[in-house]
Amino acid sequence: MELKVSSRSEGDSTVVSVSGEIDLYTAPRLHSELAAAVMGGSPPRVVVDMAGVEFCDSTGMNVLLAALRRARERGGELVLAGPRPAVRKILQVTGLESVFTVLDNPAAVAGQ
Amino acid sequence: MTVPTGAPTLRPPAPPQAVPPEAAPLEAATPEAAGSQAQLRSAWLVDPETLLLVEDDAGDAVLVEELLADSGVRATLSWARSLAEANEMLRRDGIPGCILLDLHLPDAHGLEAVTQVLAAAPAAPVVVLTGLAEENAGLAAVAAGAQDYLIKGQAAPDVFSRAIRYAVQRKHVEQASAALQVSALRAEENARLERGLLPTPLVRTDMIEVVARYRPGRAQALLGGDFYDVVETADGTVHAVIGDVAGHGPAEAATGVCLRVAWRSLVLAGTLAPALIELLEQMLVAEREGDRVFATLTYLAFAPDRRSVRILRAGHPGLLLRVAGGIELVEGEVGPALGLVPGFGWREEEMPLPAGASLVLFTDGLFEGRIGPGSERLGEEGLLNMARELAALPPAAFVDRLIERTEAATAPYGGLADDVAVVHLGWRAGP
Repeated sequence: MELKVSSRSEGDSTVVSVSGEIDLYTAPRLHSELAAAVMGGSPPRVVVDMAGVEFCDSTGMNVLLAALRRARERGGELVLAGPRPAVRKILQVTGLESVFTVLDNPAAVAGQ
Repeated sequence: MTVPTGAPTLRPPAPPQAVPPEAAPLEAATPEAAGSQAQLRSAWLVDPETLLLVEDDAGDAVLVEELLADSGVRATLSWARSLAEANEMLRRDGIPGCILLDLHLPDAHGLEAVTQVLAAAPAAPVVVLTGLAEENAGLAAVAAGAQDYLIKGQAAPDVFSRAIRYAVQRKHVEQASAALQVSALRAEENARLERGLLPTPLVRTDMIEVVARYRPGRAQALLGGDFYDVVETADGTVHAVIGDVAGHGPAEAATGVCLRVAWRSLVLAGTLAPALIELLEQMLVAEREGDRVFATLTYLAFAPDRRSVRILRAGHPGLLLRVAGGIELVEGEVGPALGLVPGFGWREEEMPLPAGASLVLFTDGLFEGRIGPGSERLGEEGLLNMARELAALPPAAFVDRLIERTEAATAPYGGLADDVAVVHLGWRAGP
C-alpha cells in the first residue's frame, strides 16, 4: 500500500492531503512533506487532511507530533482533519487527541 | 594509455572491426568444443557473463578481445573509451561481471580511475591493466580496492582467465564477509539491547506464572522499543509493565531499556502509581533524543491476596482477561502516552480478579499486521477472536500459538512489520 502526500495553499493555510498508510516504511516521506509545510508561512498554518488515511501506526503518530511541535515553536499551528474511525481510535488511545486539534470535516477547513 | 614504446605486442591503433565504436556487446569466440566448455562452466560457476573494458586505446582493446577469445572465459565484452563513457554504460546496462580498467584514461589517471570506478560500481570486481614498467601502479590499485592487475603485452590467455576468475571470486568473498560482519554487529547490538529490554522476572513467589515472548519486527530484524518487566515487592504485590517507545531502531530500544530499568528501580524503591508514572515520564523527557519521542505503557499491580489488580494505561492498547475458558478485551480508562502531556494526572483503575483469572499484556505489533491485500489490519477485535479459539490452551502454548497465528494470518501481506511483545500473567492453582 502506498502513501500519497500532496500540499496546496488555501488562503493563508497549507493543506497537506495524505492518503494510504502511514507506517514505518512510509513515515519518512510524510516527515519531509510536513517539515516543508511547517517551514513555510510565518506563522505556519498547516492542515493535515487525514480523510484518505487508512492506517497510521505509532511511527506515523510520532511524525505528526514532531511537525506539530515544530509548527508551535514557530508560533503557528498544525491541525488534523477528518481522520477515519481506525485512525481516531489510535489518536484516542495514545492520548494524541488531546494534543492535536482534530477537526471532523476537512472541507470545513478550507478558507479557515 | 601509455605503453612503453617498442612493446612488441602493441598494434597500430586502427579501429578494430570486432569492437564497434558504440561498444555493442560482442560474443567472444571460444576454442573449446561445446562439451568441454560445459564442463568448464560447471567447474567455474562464477565465470562472469559480461566484461566491461575501459580503455582509450583501440589497439589495446583488440588485444584484450583476443586474449578473452583464447582464454576460455565465455563472456560478452563491452568497450568504453573513457571513464565518462563507462559511467554511462554502467547506468544504462547495470553492473558487469568484471571491469577491466586501464589506468591512463583521458578523464582519469592511476588510482583516481580505480576510486571512481569503485564508486560507480562498488559491487563489481576490477582488474587493472598496467604497462610493463608499472607493476607498482598495479599493486597500488589492488591496495585501493581492485582485485588484481594484468601487465599489458605480458598476459598469456591462461593468466588472463585466472585473473578474471579469481577477481570475481575474491570480490564475492569480500562482499560476503562484509555482509557477515554487518549482520554479526547487528546481532550483537540486538542481543545487548534485548537483555536490557526483556529481563528475567524478579518474583519470589512461585505461585505466579509468567510467560513472556518477544519477536523483533521483520524490518532487518531491528529491535523496536518494546519492553516488559515483572517485579514482586516485599508486601507480596506483583507489579508488571509492558511498554512501547514510538519508532524503531537502536535509539528507541535504548530509551526502552532506560524506561524499563527506571520502572524496576522505582517499584523496588516502593514508589506507587500514579507518582511512579509521572517520574517515568520525567525520565523519558530527560533521556529521549529530540522532543518528539513518546512511549505507551500499561502498568499492573496484583494485590497480595490476588483478588484484584490495579491497572494504569498510558496510551497503550487494552489487555486480555482469561477466565475459565472465556477471553475478554479489557480497555477501560486510558490516559495519554508518556511524553505527550507532561504532568498529566494518570489514574489507576481497580479490577476484581475472578479465581483462576490470567491477564495477557501485548504491544500493538501483535494486531497491526495486514490481513488482506488492501489496508485491512487484524485489529484488536480480530486478535480477540483468534485468542478465543485458543482459550483452552495452557499459558505458554496459548502465547506461542497466538503469535504464530497472527504471523500466519499476516504473512501473505507482509507479515508483522513491528516488533511484538506478549506477557501472560497468571496464578498457578494452589492453596
